[in-house]
Amino acid sequence: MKNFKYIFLTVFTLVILNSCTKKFDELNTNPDVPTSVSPDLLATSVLRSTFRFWNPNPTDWGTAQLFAKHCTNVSAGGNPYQYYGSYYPYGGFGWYQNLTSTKRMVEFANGNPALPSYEGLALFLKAYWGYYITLDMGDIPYSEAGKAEDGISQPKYDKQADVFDGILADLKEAELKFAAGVNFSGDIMLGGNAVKWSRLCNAFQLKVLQTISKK
Amino acid sequence: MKKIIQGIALFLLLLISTVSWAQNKTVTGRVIDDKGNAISQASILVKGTQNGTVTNEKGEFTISIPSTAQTLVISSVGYGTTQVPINGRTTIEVILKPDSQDLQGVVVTALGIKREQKALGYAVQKVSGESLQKVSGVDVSTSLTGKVAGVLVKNSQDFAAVPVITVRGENALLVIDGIAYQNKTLGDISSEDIESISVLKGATASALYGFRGANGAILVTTKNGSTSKSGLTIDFTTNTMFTAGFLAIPKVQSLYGRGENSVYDQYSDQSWGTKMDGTVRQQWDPITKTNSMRPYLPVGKDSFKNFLEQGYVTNNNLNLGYKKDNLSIRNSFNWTENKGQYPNSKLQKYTYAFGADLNVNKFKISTNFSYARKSSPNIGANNYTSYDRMYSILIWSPTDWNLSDYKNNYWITPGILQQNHFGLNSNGQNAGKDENNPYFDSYEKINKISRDVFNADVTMSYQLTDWLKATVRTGVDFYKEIGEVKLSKGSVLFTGGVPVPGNGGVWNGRLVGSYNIGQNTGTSVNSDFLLSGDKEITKDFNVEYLAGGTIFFKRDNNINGGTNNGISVPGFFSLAASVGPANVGQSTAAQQVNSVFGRVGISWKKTAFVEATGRNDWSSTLAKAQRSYFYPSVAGSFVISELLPNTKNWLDLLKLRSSWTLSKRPASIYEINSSYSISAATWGTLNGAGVPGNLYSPTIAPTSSETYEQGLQAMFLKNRLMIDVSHYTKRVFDRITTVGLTQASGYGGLVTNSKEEITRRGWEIILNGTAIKNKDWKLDIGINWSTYASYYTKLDTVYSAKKPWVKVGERADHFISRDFLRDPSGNIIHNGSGRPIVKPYDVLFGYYDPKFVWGTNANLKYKNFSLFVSIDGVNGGLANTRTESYMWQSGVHPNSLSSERELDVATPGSSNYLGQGVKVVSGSATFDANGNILTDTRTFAPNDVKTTYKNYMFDLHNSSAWGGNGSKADTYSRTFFKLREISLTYTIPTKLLHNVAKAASISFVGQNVLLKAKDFKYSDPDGGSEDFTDPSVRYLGVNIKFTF
Repeated sequence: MKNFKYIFLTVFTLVILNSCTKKFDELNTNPDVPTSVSPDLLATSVLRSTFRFWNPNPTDWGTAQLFAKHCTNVSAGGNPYQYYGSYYPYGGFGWYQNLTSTKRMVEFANGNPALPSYEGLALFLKAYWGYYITLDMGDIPYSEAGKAEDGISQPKYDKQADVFDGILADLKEAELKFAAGVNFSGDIMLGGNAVKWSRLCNAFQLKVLQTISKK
Repeated sequence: MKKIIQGIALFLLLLISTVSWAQNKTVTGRVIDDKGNAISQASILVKGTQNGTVTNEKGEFTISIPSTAQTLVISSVGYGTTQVPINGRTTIEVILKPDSQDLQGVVVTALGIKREQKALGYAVQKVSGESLQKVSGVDVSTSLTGKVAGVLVKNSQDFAAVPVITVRGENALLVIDGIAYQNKTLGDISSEDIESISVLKGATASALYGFRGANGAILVTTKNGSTSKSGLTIDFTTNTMFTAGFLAIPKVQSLYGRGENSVYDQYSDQSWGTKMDGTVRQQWDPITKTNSMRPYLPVGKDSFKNFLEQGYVTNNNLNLGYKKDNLSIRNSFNWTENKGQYPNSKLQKYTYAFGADLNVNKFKISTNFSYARKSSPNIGANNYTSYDRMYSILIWSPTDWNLSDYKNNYWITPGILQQNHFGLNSNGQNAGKDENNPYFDSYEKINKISRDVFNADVTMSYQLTDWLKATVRTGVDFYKEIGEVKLSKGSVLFTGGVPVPGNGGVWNGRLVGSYNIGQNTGTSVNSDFLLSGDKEITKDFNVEYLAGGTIFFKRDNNINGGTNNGISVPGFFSLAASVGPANVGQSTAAQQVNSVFGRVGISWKKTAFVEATGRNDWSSTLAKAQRSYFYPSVAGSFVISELLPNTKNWLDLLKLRSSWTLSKRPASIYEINSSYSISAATWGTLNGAGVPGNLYSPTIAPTSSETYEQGLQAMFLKNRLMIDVSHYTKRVFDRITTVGLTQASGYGGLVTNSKEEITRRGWEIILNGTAIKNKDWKLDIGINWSTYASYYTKLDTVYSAKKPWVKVGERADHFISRDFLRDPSGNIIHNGSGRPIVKPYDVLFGYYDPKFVWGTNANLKYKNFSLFVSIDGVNGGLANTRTESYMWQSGVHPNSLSSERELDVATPGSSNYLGQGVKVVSGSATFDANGNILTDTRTFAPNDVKTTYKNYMFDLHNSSAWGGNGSKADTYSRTFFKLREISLTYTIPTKLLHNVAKAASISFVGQNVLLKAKDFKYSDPDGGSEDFTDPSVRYLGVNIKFTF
């Protein structure tokens, strides 16, 4: 009879003590997804989503960036791209969501010798996205874009003139960063060659200046 | 936390060691009423313990009690409760006076605490196991339909579909014998194993269950043998029913054949062609497997019915109970098999349950374990986007081909090339549209499932003193669930959105075949420890108290895989058969919640009752700062009738109750975790990574809700009539939600606690009565009625949707879709071709939730016969009919045989349908973002442009199963009522059994017997929504019960 008491108590205490010691933080970490990544992985994805050929519209093959220098599209009807530089007569801020990726890319590159190049890439891409978005829509958020983490969930719209100033400043800074000449990995466009990127930043400034100059 | 528990454990240790064990003695006795009649089923309880028994039909009882026991508590339904001092006696006779204040007797409340219903400050409704055992179908949930006010069971008519149970419109927690198993469902339990079900309807009732009980709880008490008589009892029940006719089945027209524009087209899957008038036309001949010239006739007008097979449900249960002295054991075996109507569909369920109770003095141990297996070699595919077989039989094929000719004849080249009604083209490939032969879909597109669940629990309690009892309870469950989807080569359709565990919609295998598998495994552990007791402070005051803790842990793992680019060998289904590298995935999810809770209840003169509970949880799914949260509740009950002495002759009980509770639900697993995604070989050999699309607010707190509930219960005329009314208000706030952010901010969304509040208000009415009661006749009737609706009561100024129907005071369950443009007086506006113009803005059609839900049960007893009838229904609420929408679009709808169609077909190319409405003559209108007119200079004239009947019907019924709600014409009211169950039972008189059996009965039973729906004519709205729902079938059969 007395044994029941001991069985009871043993089970009672074991059950309680055993289950209480699990570490909650460890438990709440999903083992199937990473909580940190390397900057080159982010660079690859961002470059792919920026320069990848997206639109399945057959007339794209004639007009979009990739094939324009190789073929000509001859069609009787007009095509929205000719008017808007876009297939859809409206713009979007989709590219700006990548600002979080480039921000993380730079953070994860901290301590990496290629840090200046990743910083340059982040600046170049922001300028590149801002350039095409402002061409679509005029006044757009630029100086406050991509700052939700800093509490700016509704970034203010900058005047287009200020956007271009910002773009040129960012391109100039990007050119300087790449000028440090450290090659980086994860680059699907120019093979991570910082010198080429530096030249591209320079050339792109000319393109921007050309765009804003009076014809 | 750990320190607290260690402290409590130490305290217990000290307590227990001071209490000595005592000897047992046996007391026998008899319970009679004031006229000397025996009272059977009276409950005998040793005061302050759960040690108890019930009387037999002669009113006799035997109970083993500790010698220290002082008092027995005797109670019975319809009689009062009496306390009898034992005074050392071994034979006790007890007289119970009729006292109707416990017609409802005791009910099981949260954590298995048995309480008198009149003491409750919240709504709890009990359903006896017996009423669920009248008719045994596939799933006991179906038998629960309509039996509890506020509970809606949606019984989809699709094969193997599991009924969905909601309590006050939300998913409630299922608790089996005190354990809130994570992985058990009501369908895992055999109805014969159920002693009773208590539904705790609101958050207050289930406050002690914490966040998992925030939407109420369904408490199942299984039979444990202690209620059976001494010795061995064997119960055998078999219930077999066959399909006998349809309550609703889609019908199609058989006048017009294939074609799209009033002309015959052999390779069209639409039925907008010419008449099937016997003209000789080129058609595919499935016998010779060539095209041939034959008279064109509706030879397939009964194809669908011919395709369906005789179905059945057989549910068989064997129960062995054994009881001797202080030990009771119970074993139960159940086998259920359901043959579906579609070929090659069968479902099997096996359950085995074991329970044992042992009472030794102050110590009590009870244990249960059970195993349930559900499996089907093929459950098929339901709904349009999974290519339900209706897709290819009814919708996308005319009635000009006889499906029976394609039975056992679905291959041209076995394993490679199938035969459908379009036949082959000149290249020897399947011609025409992509439609599988329905027999191919039955035998070569296999959706195999199995689910095994094992669970076990142990409850031990020890009566420390008269006023304190300690209980430890642990329950564990394990489950394994496997789903496989196999598609043979030669399918001209993809697998469709058929899910396997871990992959919500497998989409592959067209022409090349595929094999997909997913496996879920998981476990949950619930451990409770409780200290509880009650004490009389003074003669008038009694106090009950409870303190305890719970640890809840669960983990789920999934692995899944599928072939890529087809299978390499026909008929070889394995990941190893994959042509390309197989696609694989895995996931894990784990959570632990630790809780401490307490409850204090005070009663005064059995007239006023007040109780308060508090619970604190620590959930692993929240950030450290928000991890701990507290939620209290208060409930009170006041028995007014105790103060009204002059009403005793007609009023047995009048009680008011009221309660308030706060409940909190933590984030779900990993819901607030920010993590990266990795994509392999995103560019050449390079891998890529993505950042989270959502920003996570660092201070995410649990979703909170606050519930107020008031109620009134009254009993009249010696308990012949009982009425219970409840009203509740539940305000949900701080909801964890993902709100959209502009992508210019760097994120697509923000996960945060929304300031938007949604409040649900509802009423529930229960009416139970005994209309007739005399020597031979007895008629019991129960009616349940409930209604609720949810409203926006506060909006989040930043993040609430900016829509006209999102406003304070508006309903939150809005049903929105696209309507046509209309002129100021509501006429449809037509374009220049005479076709209606769709308004490019969403419009509010109405609401999803029903206006009210009701159920009624009647049991008429005459001598040895009894007739049981259960009817329930839903009134109001909107649902789409996908089936009818597509029947219109494809041209097979039986109502589409109009005179205009006749004219269109008589002269192909002519347009003969004039749409009712207007056209714009001049001017234009501008709209704001919600589609409200800003400026309008339009002038209208009646529409005078004819179009084809097909075009117009297509516009009118245009909807897509791939997204969005349908058109107004196919948006139906869910209103229906159903004769759910019927049973006519003959209880065989004991003398006829000649001691072969102790009791026996035979019943003619029916389930899903009759349906009357307001709008739904060709399908059954019982499932709450309708998307190619299988024909609703009537089940009729026999139920035989034996007790040995």
